[in-house]
Amino acid sequence: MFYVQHGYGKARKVDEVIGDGHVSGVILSPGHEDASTLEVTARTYIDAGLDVLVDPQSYIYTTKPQGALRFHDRNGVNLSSMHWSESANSLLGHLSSVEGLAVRLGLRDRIIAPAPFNATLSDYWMPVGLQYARTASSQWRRSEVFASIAISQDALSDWATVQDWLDAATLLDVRGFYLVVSRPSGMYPPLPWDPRLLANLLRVIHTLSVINGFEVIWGYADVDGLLGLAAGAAGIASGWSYSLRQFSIDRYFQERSGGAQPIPRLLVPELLSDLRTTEIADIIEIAGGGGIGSLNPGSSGSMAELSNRDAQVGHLIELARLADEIGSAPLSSRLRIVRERVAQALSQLNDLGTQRITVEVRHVARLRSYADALELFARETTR
Amino acid sequence: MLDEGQVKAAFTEFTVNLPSIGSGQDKVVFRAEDGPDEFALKVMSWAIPDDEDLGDTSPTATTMERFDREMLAMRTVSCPHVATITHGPEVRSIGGKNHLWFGEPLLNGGTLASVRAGGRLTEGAVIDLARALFTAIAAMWGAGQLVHRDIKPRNIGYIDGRVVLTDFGAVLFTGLSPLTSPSIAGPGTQLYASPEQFAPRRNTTLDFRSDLFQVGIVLHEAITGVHPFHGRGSDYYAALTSYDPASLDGTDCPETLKTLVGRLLSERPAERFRSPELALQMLEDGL
Repeated sequence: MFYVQHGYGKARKVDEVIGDGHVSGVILSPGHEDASTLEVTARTYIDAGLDVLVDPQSYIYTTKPQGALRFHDRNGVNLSSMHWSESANSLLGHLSSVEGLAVRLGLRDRIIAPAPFNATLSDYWMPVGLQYARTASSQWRRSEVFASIAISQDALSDWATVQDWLDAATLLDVRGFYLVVSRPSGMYPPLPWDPRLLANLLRVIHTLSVINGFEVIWGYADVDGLLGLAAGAAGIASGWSYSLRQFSIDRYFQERSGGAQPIPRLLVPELLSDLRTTEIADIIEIAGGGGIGSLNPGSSGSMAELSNRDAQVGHLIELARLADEIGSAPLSSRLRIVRERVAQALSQLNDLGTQRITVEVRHVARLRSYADALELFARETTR
Repeated sequence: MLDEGQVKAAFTEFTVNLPSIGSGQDKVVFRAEDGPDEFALKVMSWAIPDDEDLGDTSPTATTMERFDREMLAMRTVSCPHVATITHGPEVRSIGGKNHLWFGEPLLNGGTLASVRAGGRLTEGAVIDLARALFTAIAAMWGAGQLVHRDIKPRNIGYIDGRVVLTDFGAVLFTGLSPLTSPSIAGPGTQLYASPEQFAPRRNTTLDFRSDLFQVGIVLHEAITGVHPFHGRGSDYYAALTSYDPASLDGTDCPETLKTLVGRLLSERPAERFRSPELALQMLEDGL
């Protein structure tokens, strides 16, 4: 299943992506959108028959310095007092505000519980996160609860510690887990993963979903999420902007300048890579499409002129199609499908190089990290 | 030490047959008759001190609290595969000293240890055993998050062909403070303990998944006739945490059971089953 990670009011663009027929749901961000707009957004997607969830975004309040989002208060979500030594009243108050928002938006059936951010899985925030999920599952008896897991990628480095956490988390009486993994903020496309960390993340998804039967939704996952589907995730999410395509906790407390205008990019499904539209135009013009089926030989001119808005729509449509294709395959064959696609993408990028067409080298590095992580994952889960 | 003759003399309302038919860490078991009905008379081998101020932390107070919890567990859990109390519990003067005692249904079909006698069970008997033990564990966890912690062949018995889990002397009430170390309880227990009983983990207590691991060992033994880890080199813990499902290859055991035992004997609780019911479901779905 593919979810649109929704930041703030771009409803018309979402409509275009939904219209392609491969989107299952939307994940809303109450910290990013004012109350009245959020209500309209939620209603629009509910009426469209989509599965609508709300990410409470509580994790931003447990970092140092504490993060901030403009619209939490206006949505009645009061989470800024989250503390590692939480009183029962305070914890219940936080849960009540999240439930209240879900009720107001008409989304009571399935609620994502709040949780702190975990820089590691061995510090004092770890049991606090479990406590929120456990209390939510006992308090929200009329709802199906998703526990939040918001972790740094570094929390995945020590597998024994991750296993300790899994031993505890798999006893939660919840329907599933909403997972976000913070990566170093920076340029887009994201930096390649350390294969060890990515393989461990896939093992977490596999343990939760395949072995224990929880429904796992990986937020802010973008193309990485396709590997999550191979590991057993039920859903992945990505959004318009680069900040909705990879999760980075830093962006919630770092001062940010406006930055440069985004470069229009399109996801080329055969390459599993988000190429600049100018690069795509070159491939079409110089190499006649480079043997890449989705590139129309006659479209180089229009490609170079593609607006950022249309490129964003195109990106999500292609990603949703890929997610649908992989996610609807039997679980037993998903891993093979994704490994073949990664190998094919690497091969085709290599072929482009022999035709003197160079794309950003980061794509190859990212795909190699995928291949290595998938190999580790396959080896360690089929013992 | 209990004088068995004094036990017989103390229970004049029953016929107590000597010698005793078994003993554990704290109890001696006799075959007894209450009119036409046979039952297992279990007498605590230690006596309750007469005048001693026990306090909360004395060894005797702890042992008595353990006894109370054992009784509570047996009363709390309602399941055809969990032993029930037929008599008592009460205090009886035996040889001038006060001893706690209670009665359980007699295991007229013997224990799994005696039935198996070092050999294998038939496929049907293994499936019945698995089904009963998963049901018992589900009942214990559902009744109050109880963990048996001491599932082994001598604590599994047969009453009129029905598998029954007995001896709740090591039971863990996860909602109460622990009375004993989370690890090893009685004689023979070490060979059936889970990895987390040897090495307690961060932020977790034992849960039903430890019992599932113990069932995995019991089932492997029942299928093959041999213990899955004992005798596999000098590092027992290393063997315990690296079960190879291929060790059931070559047996005529159904694939479902092989997969099931492999899952049960996973090193980590998170890799076993999220609930005993799911283990039972896998068994039933595969048959």
